[in-house]
Amino acid sequence: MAELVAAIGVPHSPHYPAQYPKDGPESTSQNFRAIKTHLDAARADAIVVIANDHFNTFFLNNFPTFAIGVADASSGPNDQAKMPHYDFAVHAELASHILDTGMREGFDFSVTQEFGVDHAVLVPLHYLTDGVNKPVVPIWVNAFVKPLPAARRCYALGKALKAAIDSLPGGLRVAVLATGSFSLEIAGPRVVPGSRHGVPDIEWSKHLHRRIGNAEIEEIVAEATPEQMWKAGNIGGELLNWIVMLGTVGNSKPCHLADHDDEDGHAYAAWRWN
Amino acid sequence: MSVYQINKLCRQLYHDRALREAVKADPAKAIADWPLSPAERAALLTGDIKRLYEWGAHPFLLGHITRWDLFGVTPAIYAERIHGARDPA
Repeated sequence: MAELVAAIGVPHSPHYPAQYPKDGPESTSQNFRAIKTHLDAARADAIVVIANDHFNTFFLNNFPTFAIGVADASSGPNDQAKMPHYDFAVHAELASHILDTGMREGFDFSVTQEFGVDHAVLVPLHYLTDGVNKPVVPIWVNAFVKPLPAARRCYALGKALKAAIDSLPGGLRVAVLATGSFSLEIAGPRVVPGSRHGVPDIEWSKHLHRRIGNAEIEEIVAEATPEQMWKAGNIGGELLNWIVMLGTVGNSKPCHLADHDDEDGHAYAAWRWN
Repeated sequence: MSVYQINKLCRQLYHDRALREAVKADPAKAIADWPLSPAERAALLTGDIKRLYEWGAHPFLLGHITRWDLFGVTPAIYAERIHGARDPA
């Protein structure tokens, strides 16, 4: 059977690739490199990326709560993030199996068979792979169009994802990668004066970082109410991407947790098995 | 009132260079065929960010217009006008 060999959580800020070279001395570059060391050591054959679309793959004419991409290939970024363009393989067999298993478990995914992906998928893969050289399965979670899915539902989706990986025949080694911020306001009333961004609730971000370090995952799920995530910013729902990933982890502490990024409200964490 | 068309227009401005150029050249003419309400049209043409946000324009889409200073809205003007806006119901 396939096995989950690594779980990872990182941010996906679209300005990072232009600002922080992969081999740069900045703490952001270093944080991504440390995570990449773990992903490389896990020798994953495929990467399931849990991300939220920013109106680039989907729009309000048909905006999915949970969606999965089932295809042979994709490309991006399909937004204007200043970063390299990547054409990459999609692991159709794994994607189909996650879709089938999810449906049986009560997760009614939207499915796209032709799609591009935006910075939320590709900024992490830019830093964590050598040119997106492993097949990917994108799973999108609605993290910023109200109403958001409940945290408990996202956690259960993560458990279903783990069960899907565990039940795929063959010996595929799978990594799960969640991307997003814990506290972020983009172009809303809580931006820093004169800026497009704000971090409205840095204490929430620090709190989540401590909880992750202590493997207090059920506590995070209970605390991640719609009100709390909105208090953390209009992109505060990106925590839900992480909660899906945490559902695959069980109650284990990360093998690597970078110091909390106090400036941007970001965390970098990795779990490994085998 | 639905601000769906405002959101749709902001998304298209982000992805469609020709529409951006048209808005830069003549904003009222460029959006003349878009099915906006009179109030929505006036708010957009005057860069009334606060009202558009309060009507439910998604900030991630609305913020795109500042990338090219469309409708006279620079990033600084946007930040000033969004300040104090109430969240939509």
